Amino acid sequence: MEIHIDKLKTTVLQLEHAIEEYEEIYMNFYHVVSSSSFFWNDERSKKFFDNMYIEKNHVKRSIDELHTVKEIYGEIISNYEQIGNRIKVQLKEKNNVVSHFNQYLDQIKLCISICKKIPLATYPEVSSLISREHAQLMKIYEETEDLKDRLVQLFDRMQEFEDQINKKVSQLQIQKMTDIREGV
Amino acid sequence: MDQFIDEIKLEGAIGKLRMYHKEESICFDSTIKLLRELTTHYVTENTIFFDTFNDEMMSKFRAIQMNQQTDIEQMEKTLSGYRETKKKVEKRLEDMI
Repeated sequence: MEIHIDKLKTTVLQLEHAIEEYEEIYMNFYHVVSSSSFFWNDERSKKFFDNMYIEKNHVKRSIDELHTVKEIYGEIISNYEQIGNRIKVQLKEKNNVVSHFNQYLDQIKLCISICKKIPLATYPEVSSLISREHAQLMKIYEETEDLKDRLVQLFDRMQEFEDQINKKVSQLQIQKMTDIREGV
Repeated sequence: MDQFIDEIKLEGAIGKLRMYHKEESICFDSTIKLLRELTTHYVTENTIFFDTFNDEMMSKFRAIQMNQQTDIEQMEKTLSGYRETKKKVEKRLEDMI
């Protein structure tokens, strides 16, 4: 997956303005339509204005749908901006990454055990060096393990975000515009 | 039923509706463009749902535009029908005089 937070933010802001503009046009259009009933009244006008009322509600629904999708993008932004600005990751690769970390940790563990097995009394001239190496390896092991845990948490967090978004976006349903002109 | 048509006001209303209809068309184009752009900044397994939403929204915008076009034509038809009748009545009155 690839997410550009900055670009999303800019585009969502532009979308917000476009929806506002659309709302204004919608209000103006149907205001003129409803005002027309004051100067047009004949055998056809009643049905026309009844249909316009239905149509107005349909159009209002599409504005609501646009607001919903904009809110979902807003949620995507607020979730992912805590992680970074440009995120590029393969969530499915989590187990592979963990496995590589584990292999590396095993190798460090092996080196630590070798260090431990060296009889320091036998090699007094390098004993301080071996002790230092041992301490260094222990530190690397702890840091790598911590990094692995944080990476796993990050993978899980992103997966959780994606699941939440999936739940919302898969429920998005657009009301179809039926031909309400029939019989006018 | 009390029937009436104010020719001038109806004509004015049609003019305004034509203008809003045109503005709306431009607004729809830019909205669709923005919706499509968003799916290029958010590429995940969920993007397909947004793509579907965008396609459906585009169809809906087209339907809204077509319906409103028909609404305006309906009003224009009423106005031209009224003008024709008015002309005939005026002609008949002239002939009678």
